[in-house]
Amino acid sequence: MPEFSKSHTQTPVAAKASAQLSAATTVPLQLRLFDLLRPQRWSWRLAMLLGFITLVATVLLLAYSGWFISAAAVAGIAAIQAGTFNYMRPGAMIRLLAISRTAGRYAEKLQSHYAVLQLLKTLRLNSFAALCRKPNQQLNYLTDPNHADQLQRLIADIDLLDQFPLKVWLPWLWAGATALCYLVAAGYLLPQGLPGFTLILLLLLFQPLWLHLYGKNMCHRLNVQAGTRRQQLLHQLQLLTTTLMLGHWSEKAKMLADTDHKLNLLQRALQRSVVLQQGIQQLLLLSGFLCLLWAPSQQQQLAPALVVALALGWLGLSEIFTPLAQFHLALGYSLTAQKRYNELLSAPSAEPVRPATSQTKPTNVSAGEVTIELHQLQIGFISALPQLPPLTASFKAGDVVLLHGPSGCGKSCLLQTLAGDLTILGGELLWQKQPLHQLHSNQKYQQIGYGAQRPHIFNLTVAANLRLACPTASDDELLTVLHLVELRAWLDKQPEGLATVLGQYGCGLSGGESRRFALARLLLQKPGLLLLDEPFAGLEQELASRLLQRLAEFQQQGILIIASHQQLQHPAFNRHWQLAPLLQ
Amino acid sequence: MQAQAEPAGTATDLLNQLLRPHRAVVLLIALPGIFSVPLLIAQMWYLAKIAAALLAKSPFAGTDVFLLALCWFGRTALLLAKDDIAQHLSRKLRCQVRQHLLAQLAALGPLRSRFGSDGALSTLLTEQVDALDGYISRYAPQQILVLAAPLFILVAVAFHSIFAALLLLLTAPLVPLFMVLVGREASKASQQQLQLLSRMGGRLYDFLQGLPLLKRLNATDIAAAHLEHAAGQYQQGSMKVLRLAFLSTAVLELFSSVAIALVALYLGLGLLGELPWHKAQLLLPYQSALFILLLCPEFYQPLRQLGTDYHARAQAIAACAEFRALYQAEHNSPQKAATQVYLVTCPVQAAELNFHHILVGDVSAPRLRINELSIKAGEQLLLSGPSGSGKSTFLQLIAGFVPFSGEVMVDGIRLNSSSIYQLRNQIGYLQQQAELLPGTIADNLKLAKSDATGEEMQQVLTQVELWDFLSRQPEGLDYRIGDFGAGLSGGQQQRLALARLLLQQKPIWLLDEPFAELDEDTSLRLSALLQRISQGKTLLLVSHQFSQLGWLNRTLRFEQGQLVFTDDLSKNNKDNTTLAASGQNTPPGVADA
Repeated sequence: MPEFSKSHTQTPVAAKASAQLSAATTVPLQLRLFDLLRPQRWSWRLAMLLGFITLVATVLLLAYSGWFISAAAVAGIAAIQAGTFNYMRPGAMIRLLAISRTAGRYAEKLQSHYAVLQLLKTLRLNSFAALCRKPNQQLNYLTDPNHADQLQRLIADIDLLDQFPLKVWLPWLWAGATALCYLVAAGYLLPQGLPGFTLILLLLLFQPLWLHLYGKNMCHRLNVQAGTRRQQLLHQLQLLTTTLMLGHWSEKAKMLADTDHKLNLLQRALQRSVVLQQGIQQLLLLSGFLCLLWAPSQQQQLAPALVVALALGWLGLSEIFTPLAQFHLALGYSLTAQKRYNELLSAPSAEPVRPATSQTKPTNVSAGEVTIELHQLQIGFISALPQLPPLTASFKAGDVVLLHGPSGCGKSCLLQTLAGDLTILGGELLWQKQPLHQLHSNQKYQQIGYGAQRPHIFNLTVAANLRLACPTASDDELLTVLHLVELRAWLDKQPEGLATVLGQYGCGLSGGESRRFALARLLLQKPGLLLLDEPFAGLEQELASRLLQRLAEFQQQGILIIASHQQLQHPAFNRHWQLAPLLQ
Repeated sequence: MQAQAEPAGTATDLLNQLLRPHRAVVLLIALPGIFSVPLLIAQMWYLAKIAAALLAKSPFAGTDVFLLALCWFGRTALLLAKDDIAQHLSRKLRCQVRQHLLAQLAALGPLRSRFGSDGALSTLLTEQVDALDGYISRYAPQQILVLAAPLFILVAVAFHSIFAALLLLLTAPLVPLFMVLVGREASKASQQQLQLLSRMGGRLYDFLQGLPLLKRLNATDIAAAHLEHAAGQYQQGSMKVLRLAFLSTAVLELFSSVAIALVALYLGLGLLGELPWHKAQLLLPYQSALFILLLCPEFYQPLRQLGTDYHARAQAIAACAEFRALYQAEHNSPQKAATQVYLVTCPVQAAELNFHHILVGDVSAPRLRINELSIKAGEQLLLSGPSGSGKSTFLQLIAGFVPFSGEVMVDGIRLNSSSIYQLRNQIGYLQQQAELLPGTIADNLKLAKSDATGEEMQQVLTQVELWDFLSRQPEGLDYRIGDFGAGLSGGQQQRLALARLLLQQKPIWLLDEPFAELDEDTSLRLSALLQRISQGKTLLLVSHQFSQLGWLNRTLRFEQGQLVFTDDLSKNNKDNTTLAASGQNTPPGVADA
């Protein structure tokens, strides 16, 4: 991934992004389908125009060629010899139509795809910004690997939303506009056929709508069933070995096949509805055609060549109406995607919006004495789960604390509360003598660093990953923190150095290495309070003890709290904090 | 995670292989499409006839109109039937592929993790398999249609004007040629585009997954910049691709339009007697001329359709590339997992195990190699060795998930693909993370014995020391646990899994690192519990915590896939534990409590 490997200074990009984010926040929380067309309004209009030109050229090419042949046949050889038939102009006209049809189609496709890509970009940035506004407590649930399908579905839904402009709105507008042109021409040439044409064209244009409720309902059911299938499959896979060993697999496989079958039936119903729609369309087109044959017999004075032109034009219209057979399907998918997108993104986001006045400069941290105090603090992930007895403690700069207790006694919960990610159930938590929850989140995050048990390493370069914590850090600073966590040797082995891409597609770090890497990133943030959840799990104990020594030195001006279920004995710890086991 | 060995062939080969058994059906789908072409030709012929009558100012025959409507109607019916059958085949085939993949997973058992997390695998089996749809239902039959339909039209045109037919014939080979030239580039490019798309989605997914962390780092703005950059890259990249890809469509469009224009001019001039080589004479009757003109766009229509569906092919190939490794993975068990036999009565007494000349993996780099080993009934063994030394493979081998050469005898029955289901009734196998069903405790226990009574359940739960906890919950046996055992601690999860084993009375227990995720106190207690409840079972236990497992009979030590030694633990019990403890657990500085 070359794009960010060399850009070691990213401040301008970041500045641009914050503008983008603040712009994104102005988008209404509840997305409506027509909002999809708003951000790239002119792009869509251009695509609309180009498509319209193409379709008119398509219909006209056939109609005009038909007229030309017929007129030529009527005029016959005699006309040429008399000089009354100019065949140069029709020739030029046909060539022009042929070329504008080709060029129009090419340009329209490029333009509408450009607009779609732009739309996807906006949607992705918007949904990212919307999720950013949610409190971490909610996000932790959403981003938990166990609920991974939620995010996958969000991304899939974003991709589905482009169906609305591409497969619903544009084709319908094109069909409507082209039909209107045809109607004008037909009304001028064959006035007595006008009511029939109007009726049939209106039917063609609006008949996809009668199925739209059905489509919406079916797409919703299909989506639900697809979700069920996915969920069922995931559950069965998670139990696979057990089920196999217990000899129940064949039943489970049958159950999965049944679910799949149900989904198939829904798919079939939807596909049949499209087939039905196509059938109705063709019948309407056929009746329009018969109407066209009947009308001239009522009015003899119209030139037969023009009748032929109208007939061929009508045939051309069928190509324009064909995409509308999918109309109810695409609309159904868009509506379902829109509903889920809104559900996921606009759930109440409880982030307090603080006035700028309460914002103090981060430099205050180093000025004042770093303290954190707990008075009768009650914590818990949710109030229903068993709680710890109320906690009272206070810590000041220079404290290196070992938070100890058996697994499951609430260490992680306590750390997350101290980090300000969990709401307090009772008592008081004071950071620098101020209640922690009153602090603006930016400030809170700046001053309190929290290293989770399973840290997330982003699929970015080493440098970009580290600079997430401190965008202005120089290469030397990066190397210093990596040295601190003893990853210099690892880095020196990477041929691309700081530009090495980490994560899923890049070269990997082992479990212990990724924990140390996340630690380095945290150190770059220089927090006043550093909370680490089992930072040494899976590390050799010698390395762990060296790391601890360095961490303690690094954090001299602040507080370091390390949670561990092991009883680590190290001179660096000057405080021990024992949590009682859960009251059972 | 990467599959160990990439199977031969490419994704395209797999796609062809999937469709090969259904070639006849694909042909059958194309048939209504092919039959619709003569109807189309007839429809156009009647249309031309009616137009000719109009031109001559003579009333046209009602039968012509009727026949025209009939042709129109028949053609529509045939095309719709074609779509319906095609979609049927697509659904059926996708179902089959899904079933096959599921059977593969069932055969791989715990080894499936090589092919991705369970979440990724479920995406593979659902969305990725569904991505084959467009190729099966549209592209494949269209490939046949594209050869047949223009031929019919060409013949019909040639009947009326050799020159017009030649004109079409000349442009016809140019079209596939251009399709190949542009299409090859376009397909290469569209693969890249799909990759980019997944990367762009992947980047968003990556950032959303780490969003709490991003917020903590105050880095959401930077992340948004990265996202915007990635999206911008994607946009630029895809526009480059699309410019090329749409060129192939544009070429077809151009041919179609130019051919109509040329034919129209030729026919028009012919009717006017203005053709240079046919001065002042009528070339062909008006009816034929109009007929040819009407067929002209239809000549290119199938090709244009194929061009439009080209991305369906790219999608299908990309999907095949995703699941190919799993689809072709080697495994031990037979495909027909459904034909398994149930042993209703399980032997309760302990069983013995014998191994002769076992080899797993390649001879040059074996993952596991055992010459001779016999484990007596009721023996309790510790399997030790560094990670990746073959301990887990050994357990998976006995559980029947690993392909091997050699001979494994379980209680005198040879382990092979037909006896595996029978033998599994005697084997209990537990992994590091207990596999629990989200639901009640009772649901979980009923997995092992569907007709277990409350008393029975209470009894086994008491044995694993879980009843004490549950009896204090108001729901008791109906205590609900969430995804991944949420609501129970790690130790409790293992206990519940052990309770399941006890319910089934299996004589052989294979436990793969049951203590790995537990803290010391918990694992000590669990170890003591194991000692009690595994009495009389043949027990094979993989663990690094030797100090707690002095009660086992024997140690099997593995190194680099070899069984290096077996050692009688019960004889020098004390020495071993102290040795292990001093070697492992006491580096300077951080001391054990």
